[in-house]
Amino acid sequence: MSDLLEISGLQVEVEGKRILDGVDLTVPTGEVHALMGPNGAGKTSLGYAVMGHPKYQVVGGQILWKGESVLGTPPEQRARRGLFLSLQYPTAIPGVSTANFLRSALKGLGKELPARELLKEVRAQLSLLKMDQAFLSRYINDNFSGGEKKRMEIVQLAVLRPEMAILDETDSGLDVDALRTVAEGVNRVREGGMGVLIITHYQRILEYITPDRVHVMAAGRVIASGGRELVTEIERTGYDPMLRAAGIEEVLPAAAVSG
Amino acid sequence: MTEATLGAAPLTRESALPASLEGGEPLALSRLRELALAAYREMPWPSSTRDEDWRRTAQIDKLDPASFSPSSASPWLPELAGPGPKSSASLFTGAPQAGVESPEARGLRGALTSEPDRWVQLLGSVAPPGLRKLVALNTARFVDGALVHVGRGEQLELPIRLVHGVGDGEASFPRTLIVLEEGASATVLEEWLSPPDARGLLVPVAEVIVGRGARLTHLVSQRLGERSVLQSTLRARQLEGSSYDLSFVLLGGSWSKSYLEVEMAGEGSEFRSAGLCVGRGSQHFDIQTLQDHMARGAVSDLLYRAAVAERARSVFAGLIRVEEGAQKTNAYVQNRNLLLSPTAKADSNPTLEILANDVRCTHGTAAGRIDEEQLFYCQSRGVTREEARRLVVEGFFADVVDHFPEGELREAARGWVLDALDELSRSGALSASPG
Ligand SMILES: Nc1ncnc2c1ncn2[C@@H]1O[C@H](COP(=O)(O)OP(=O)(O)OP(=O)(O)O)[C@@H](O)[C@H]1O
Ligand SMILES: [Mg+2]
Repeated sequence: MSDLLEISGLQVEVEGKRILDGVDLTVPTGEVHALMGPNGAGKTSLGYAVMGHPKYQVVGGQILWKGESVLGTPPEQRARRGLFLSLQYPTAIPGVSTANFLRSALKGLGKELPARELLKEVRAQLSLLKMDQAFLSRYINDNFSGGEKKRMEIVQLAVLRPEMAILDETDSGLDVDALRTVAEGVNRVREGGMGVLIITHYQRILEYITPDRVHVMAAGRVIASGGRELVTEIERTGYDPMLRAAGIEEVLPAAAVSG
Repeated sequence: MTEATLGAAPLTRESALPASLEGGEPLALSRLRELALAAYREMPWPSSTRDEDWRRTAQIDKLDPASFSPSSASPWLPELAGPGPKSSASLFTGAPQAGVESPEARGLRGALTSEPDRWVQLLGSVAPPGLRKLVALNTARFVDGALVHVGRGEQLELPIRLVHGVGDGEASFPRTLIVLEEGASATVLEEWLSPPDARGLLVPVAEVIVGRGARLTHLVSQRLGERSVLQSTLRARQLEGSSYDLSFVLLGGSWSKSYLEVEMAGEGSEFRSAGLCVGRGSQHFDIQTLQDHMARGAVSDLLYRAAVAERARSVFAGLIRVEEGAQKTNAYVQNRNLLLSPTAKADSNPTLEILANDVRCTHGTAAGRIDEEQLFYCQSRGVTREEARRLVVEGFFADVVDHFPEGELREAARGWVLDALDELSRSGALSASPG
């Protein structure tokens, strides 16, 4: 049993400020886990730390992927080993077309395709995600609407085919139809056995992509884990009871910041 | 007086022996040479402390033309230049036998000696010897170059290729004259080259006249070897309703000063220009542009992007001048710089000088470094950090590359830019940590 993402006691700092304070979380490949929690809990930071964003310094704990530590390796190496992070706010790169971006990504991943096959594949994924073919030559995420950026993340997911995807609020900013389109997109890739850690504030996406387990983060750590029933509980009562049970007083994002 | 009897260097900062065309110097040209020589003697050598134009390019203070010997033959040039895109004519200054002339594109020497009355009068009509010291020097010293003349209403499909170069220890003064008559249209590729290790001085002057309603597309590519020096002047005059599209790619040389100047002399003329520069090592690129609006209702738009790595430096000064009476002018100048190392430098100074009241003019400038979030985004998708930096730099140039003339020329120019980026990667200039 080594095909899993195993995060233990993870402590992360940004510019000397503690953001994550002992995160424990394990996602076996092929499973879908949901990660919820109030604003500022540290969910996005966790995704960044797993992917190796240079600003998010790991100062304690461990991140194992398939039994091996990823710490100290650059993001591209983690991607090559099968990890993928869909960003909450995808970055625009003016002047770099979607096609060119994906060509470079596939090359970096060692999955280079002949130009024609690449175009065919991206075109197919664009239409599956109900995006205009013009996005092929548009500069990646540049002047995309919020929802278009999220769909483009799933187009990339489908083209790059990782083994484990962290989806950071991929559902935010999507209209109802787009939400279904995106969820179906994720599920298609899951048929290949991909694991998913889906960060969300809403129950809705979890109706399409059903989680095996649900975790709740607050103040830079996981304060509760359980089955799907946790989602309904959160919908009903909010986070307050869980926070109180975990001994966290303030719901303000500032609570996540200690020192 | 010959060079031998004078017993002195044919070129000094103070004076120069005028050259004369092989096969006979037409009288009118001798007169122009004399004027040029007088202008050269009269003007002081440029100075970084006295001349605003040279404030940031102190290399001029140390440049001594006497340390180069004037050359007229460059037999190696065609091979250095390579095959190039498909063209209707190709001319190599200093290696005329390798070129292919056409009725529209001829060696300048041949044109001047066979039809002096027709062409000599146009020399210096756009860039007069007194314009600046090095234009005077070129006028006194040029021995060949290219004449492009496209007759009234004539439409040339294929581009014309002009190649100028300088060899080791040499100074070379190629002259180009491009004349498009009324309603004509043409595309010209002009290349400035030197061998990789040559320490040469290239002083090209190009004069361009775009006639009424004529359309000229011009791509200038500067790919000197890294030890050579360039002092170039490209000056164009646009007549009524003409359109001039200028792309430029500045990649080589140890240091260079390039003047790009356009007179919007005719009403409703249109000038669109975009250019880029890739610098590394201790390369220094100084470019000075002028959009001179003399007539009503003309449009001019110039965009310049420079990416500088290591200790390279870009200097840009772009002036929009709107003269009295040039109402309804639309003019834009923009410079964007990307600093790829903490020691790279970019100076940018776009300015407006407006003497009319009903105009729209804007200028913009920006300098920045590669965005860490963009790098992370690329890397998180599997692109190595170095490749990510390259990708972002490529993206930085995208709108300039899109402006290059469509087709084979664009592919060629894109190739030169990609080669320069490869060179950056190879030399490790892209893997340097961001500043
Ligand atoms: N680069 C950074 N610089 C400074 N503070 C940061 C940075 N990244 C995160 N933080 C802080 O760390 C805390 C956790 O932020 P994070 O974005 O991980 O929260 P989140 O759980 O994703 O919130 P949301 O649900 O609002 O997206 C916040 O207080 C945030 O302000
Ligand atoms: Mg977040």
